[in-house]
Amino acid sequence: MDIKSIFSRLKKLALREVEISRRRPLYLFCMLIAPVFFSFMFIDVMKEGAPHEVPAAVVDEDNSQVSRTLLRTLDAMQETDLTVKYKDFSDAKDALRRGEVFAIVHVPKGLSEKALTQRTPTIYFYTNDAYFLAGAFLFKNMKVLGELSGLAITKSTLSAKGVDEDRIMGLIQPITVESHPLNNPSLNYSIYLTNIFIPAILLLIVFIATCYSIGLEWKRGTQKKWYKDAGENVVVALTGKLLPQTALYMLMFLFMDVYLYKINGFPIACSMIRLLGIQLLATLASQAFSAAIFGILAGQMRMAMSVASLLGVLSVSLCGFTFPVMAMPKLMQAISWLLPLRHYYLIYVNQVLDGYSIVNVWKSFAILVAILALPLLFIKVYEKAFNEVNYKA
Amino acid sequence: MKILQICYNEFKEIFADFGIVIFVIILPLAYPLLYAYVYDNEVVREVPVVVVDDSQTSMSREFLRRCDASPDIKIISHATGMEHARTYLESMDAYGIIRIPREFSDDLAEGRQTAVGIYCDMASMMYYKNLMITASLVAQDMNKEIKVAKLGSSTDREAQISASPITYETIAMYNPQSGYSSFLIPAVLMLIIQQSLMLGIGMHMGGTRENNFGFAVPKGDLYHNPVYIYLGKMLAYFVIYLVEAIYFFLVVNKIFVLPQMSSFATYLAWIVPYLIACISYSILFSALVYRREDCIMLFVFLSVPLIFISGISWPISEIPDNWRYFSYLFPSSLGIHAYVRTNTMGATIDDIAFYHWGLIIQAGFYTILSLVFYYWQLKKRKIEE
Repeated sequence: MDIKSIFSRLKKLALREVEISRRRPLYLFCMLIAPVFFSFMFIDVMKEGAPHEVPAAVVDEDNSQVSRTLLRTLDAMQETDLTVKYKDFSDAKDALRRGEVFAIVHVPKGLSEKALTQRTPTIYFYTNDAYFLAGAFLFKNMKVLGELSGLAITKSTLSAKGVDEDRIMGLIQPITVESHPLNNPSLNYSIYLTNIFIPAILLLIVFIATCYSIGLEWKRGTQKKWYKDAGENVVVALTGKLLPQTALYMLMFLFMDVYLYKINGFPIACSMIRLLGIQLLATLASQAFSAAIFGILAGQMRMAMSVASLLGVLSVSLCGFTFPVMAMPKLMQAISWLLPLRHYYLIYVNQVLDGYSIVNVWKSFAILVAILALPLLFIKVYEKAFNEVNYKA
Repeated sequence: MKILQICYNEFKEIFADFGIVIFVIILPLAYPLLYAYVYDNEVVREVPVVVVDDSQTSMSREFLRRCDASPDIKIISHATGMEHARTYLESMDAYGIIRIPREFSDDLAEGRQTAVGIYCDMASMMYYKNLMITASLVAQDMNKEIKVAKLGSSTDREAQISASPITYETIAMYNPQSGYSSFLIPAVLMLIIQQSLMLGIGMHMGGTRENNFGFAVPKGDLYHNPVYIYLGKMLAYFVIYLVEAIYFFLVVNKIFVLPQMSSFATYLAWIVPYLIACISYSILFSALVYRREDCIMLFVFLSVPLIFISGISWPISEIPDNWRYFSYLFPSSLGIHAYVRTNTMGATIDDIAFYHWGLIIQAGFYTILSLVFYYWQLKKRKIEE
């Protein structure tokens, strides 16, 4: 085949694919409507960036000047809502169990008396860690408060002793820790989660839809016609079929990028063009990966889709943005290297979040490019499938 | 009798179709084990960090030694300056920098406050959490000792008091290790029930339609009454999933030492309506499936948004009202909370009345809609015939 006939065949196949997709509401729903809908959902649900009113209960058994000052300080903190007050600790514990509050501040009886007579009283903070994020946020606040409350009393004792105000901080908290969360200084959870959730869903759809659309040819018995239109060339057949889908996915990525970085002003440390380039590579790699799965399974549509689903859903965990890959079992660490989403995540962090030199993630680029060539290993299997395999349920 | 016969046919068809067996048997049995394996470590240890010690004194070395001794982080290298340290972050060899200022020891000697800088890569919140907790704890400990020395109190007891007049204790309830799998696996288990049912029932529906010219109900005298059809199908899946739900409760929880505060009776009290809600919901939405494989395309990718909108990660108190009402359309949103609250937190059935009743209402709601769907399909077929 010469170049010209390859192009005319690709064009023919692309038009054929557009025609097939146009008549399938299922494609429309999964590839267009769902990603747009979920983008709006993630952004709208997390529009506050950080939880600001997680309810916590207060049990103030001491009920003194000291304890009231303490609790006012905690209430003033942005992420905690100390609206619920209980007289009895067991009532508060019931509320925690019922999920009405996510934490309890327990000030036991005799706090101020013990503090004044220097008998070191203890305050107790309970957080509900069955809800990981809520628990973590409240834990942070409780820790700060615990330190503050200790400081407040020492400060007044020292003032009474006539220690210079300037020296007090140096005395009561000689070493402080200054945090600099790089490139997300406000610890905005929407930036942290949405940036990777939406591409994760999109690439999962790519995984499944690629197997689905290839398999549908066998299911409808059109695989021979498709193969013939491609001049009996597997690479031409797959390219012609999958490229129009790539265009559609890129449209979705473009929408996502404009929506996140232009409209919602998420920080982006590289150019939009470069980001789209990265997304294009990740999309192509995911399509190639999925086409290879279909090849491995010699054209069995349902099995191929099941395997693609399994690996696709697992990718969301194994890309490592919630629970780091380094803390996973060795086998899972090894599998993560094969998954396009893992490399998209690594490149995203390097380029979009941190804006470091792209050289640092050359391995991920190399792997994504290598994945592009993966279906080539299965050309023989595809040829056989085109000629001999018929759909079976 | 007809109900049992339909149920029997349903069983036969499920077990004759390996595609459906994968979804309704193998997936619910194997997936929990896979996920529990992925998150087996529960917590992240030894996050690699690099240090910039501009002070180079015994005091600064002591601070760093204590950080390194903690299980949460690991110092992998000493950088010559911030620029050098940054290269470690860029190449992802380290995820954070601890920087000790030049004046660290002088400040402390002269009674001024001094600040240790923590610079953290925000690729994952876990790195940040580990680094901050470690540095804060080390600072807190060293502060105590410095104060004791500084105030020069006459006895140990007095020194202790001026070091920390009010102590505090934080207690992580229900998940003492703050472990990731104790938090995530219960939600995943409940989602697996709903999603695998959607896939299994969806695939069955696709098969029925392929063999019956697009009709959702097979031909034959047996399939004339929507109530019989619904109950027969329901019963088949109910039996299978009840066994699997019991397997979750008795086996998965035990193997992976997940918290288990709920009594078996409490579990059954809400898991039964949850299963009925999930089955009816799946029957209803299987109406969208025209080919066997459509169900995979349609339902699999919903897992990620469904976990998120349930309010298990992003706190439910922070989800805007309209999205929370939207989430109540899905049995998983209620089932996840019912499971976490009873099993992880030890809530009683009265404590979760909202979710319990919510599930019962969902079960009723989707049952009625499923009946309407079958009624409509039967009518359509009659007209065509």
